[in-house]
Amino acid sequence: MKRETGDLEPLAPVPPSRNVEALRRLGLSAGLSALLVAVLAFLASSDPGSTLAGFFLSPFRARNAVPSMLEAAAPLAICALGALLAFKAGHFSLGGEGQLYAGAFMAAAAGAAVVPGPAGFLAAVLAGMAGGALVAAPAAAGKRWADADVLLTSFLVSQVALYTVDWAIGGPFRDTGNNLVAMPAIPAPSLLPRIMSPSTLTPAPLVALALAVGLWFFMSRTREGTMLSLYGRNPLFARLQGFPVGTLSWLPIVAGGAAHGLAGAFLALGSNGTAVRGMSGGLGWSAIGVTLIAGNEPLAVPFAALLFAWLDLGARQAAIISDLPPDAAMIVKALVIMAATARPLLRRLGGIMRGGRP
Amino acid sequence: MSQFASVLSQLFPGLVPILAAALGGLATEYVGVLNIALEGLIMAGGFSYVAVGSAWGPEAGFVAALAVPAAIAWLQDLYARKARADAFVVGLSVNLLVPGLASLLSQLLFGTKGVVADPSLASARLPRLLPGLPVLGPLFGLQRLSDWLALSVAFLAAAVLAWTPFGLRARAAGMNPESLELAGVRPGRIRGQAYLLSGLACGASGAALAAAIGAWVPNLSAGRGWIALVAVYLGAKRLGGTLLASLAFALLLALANAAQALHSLPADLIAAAPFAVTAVVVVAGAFLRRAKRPAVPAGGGNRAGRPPA
Repeated sequence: MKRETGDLEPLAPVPPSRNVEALRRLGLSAGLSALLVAVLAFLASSDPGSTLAGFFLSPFRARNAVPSMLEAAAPLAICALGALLAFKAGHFSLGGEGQLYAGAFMAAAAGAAVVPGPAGFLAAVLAGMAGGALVAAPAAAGKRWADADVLLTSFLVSQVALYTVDWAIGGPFRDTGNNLVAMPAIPAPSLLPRIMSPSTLTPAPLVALALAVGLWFFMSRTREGTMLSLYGRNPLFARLQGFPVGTLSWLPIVAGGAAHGLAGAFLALGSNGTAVRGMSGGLGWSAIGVTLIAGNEPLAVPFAALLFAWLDLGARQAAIISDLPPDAAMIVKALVIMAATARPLLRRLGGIMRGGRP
Repeated sequence: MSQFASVLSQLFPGLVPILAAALGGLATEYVGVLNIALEGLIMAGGFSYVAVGSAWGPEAGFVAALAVPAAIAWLQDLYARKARADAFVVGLSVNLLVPGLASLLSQLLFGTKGVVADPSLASARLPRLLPGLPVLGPLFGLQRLSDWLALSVAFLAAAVLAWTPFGLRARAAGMNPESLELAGVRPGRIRGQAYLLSGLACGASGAALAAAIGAWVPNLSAGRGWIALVAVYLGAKRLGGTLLASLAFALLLALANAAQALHSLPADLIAAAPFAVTAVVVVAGAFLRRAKRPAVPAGGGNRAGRPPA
């Protein structure tokens, strides 16, 4: 039966819940990643068959592969949660790379200096978080006292941290007995315990999961979290409501830095066993991508991180058994981020899924 | 004194890539959008110069270095507008995409992900202007043809922004797109053209960097796109200010290079210095600006090209 609507617009459809939207975005990203990998395999590899096998079979076939993938996703997810907290407060902090690297450096220094065992572990974790927070602090202070653009300052300070830690690891803190440019190894009792021994799996993914749930609870179930996201959307409104705008203008940035530092500490306390020069390797940028693909939903972050971890691992496997350069993962990530932020694409997909007109 | 002369002689060659990229950043700021992708676009210019130049000569390389980033920037904006994606996020992905693509293509074309050196691509050198003068001689120590070409592209970009109707329309598109629409001009189109100009200028910057060493190196721009972005901000998003800020950064980099030549400090720490100074200047500039204007609430702005909260 056809309805006569005349000049009136039909009622706009009820927007899908945020969870449904996040789920849809994740599904779209995963599907698109697989498609792009296939396209790249045929375009850029002389042996598409083995390239595809490297991406789609190797990461799931070996016994240690899936636990290792979980382990690789953990620091990515923790960084992404830190970035998410800052984004939600309206601070676009781009300093993740340097915060992570400084965290790893401080953790390695503390882990090697304090007595081995739980004390050393705790010291390394706390030092790592302090390192990340320290790199975030100038941007936070600049925002708080001068209203300086966090986007610029966080990136600039992060660059300073990257070069300085490069110097520290390669210079005064270098373990000269090691061929790698790395710091002295953290004693084994201070490291993260291995859960499934042959694989690199540690409790880090559980920590990431707990942080995701914790951040979800904070953002959607507490007054402070609500204030934070309202401030992020409309700082003037937040000020007129008497929210603690002073604190909101700096604390989320520092907390995000501490999260990056924690991820750095886990990198140092995991399979590396210390801080290695260049170990941040674009992880901070990937984490921003994870946040965007997760659509700023804390509970979607672990899944988005898993997707990126799969892309990294798959690209590495494909590079080993075929001639696809491992940077293929970066291309796929960039295109997926672009696609995931296109709103109409999501809407249309939702319409098709409901069986209606897009 | 010789130190001083060496700083001066490095000043202008160092200024060209920063100034060109900064004008590229200014072009999109005119239409009210932050182009975070300057760094990626510089890389695209540098890689295109080497990739095309090694096959068809440096002239073709230079043309490609202008055309490819311009096309990328135009498409980047087209996608952001048509797909209603966030311009800022699209720019960030361009920054990830270009190095990845460059590495992939480098592997396919040259069989290496690392340095691609081609001596025939190093820029031709012009005779020194005013060789006799004690201060001005080294000051205008711009000898590479590529630097002059890039500088003329930068000048062209500045002229377009300052003296043509396009510059005026671009500013209108940034401030009040509705009024532009009423005047019969499509703001989206103007925005696309501003991005095109942005890519063109960044490409010139990348070509100058690659032609200076006659090679593609994976980290060719080494943060110059970000420095250029800061120069636009410190220059209060105006032409004259951007020019002055770029000059200040070029001086800073030349000083850092001179310090490196002294070997008294580790190279990593000297490389960190310009970023540290820049961060201090950004905060100080914001502080002074804040003192001047009436109190506004601290908080993230959320205009076009800015991340969604």
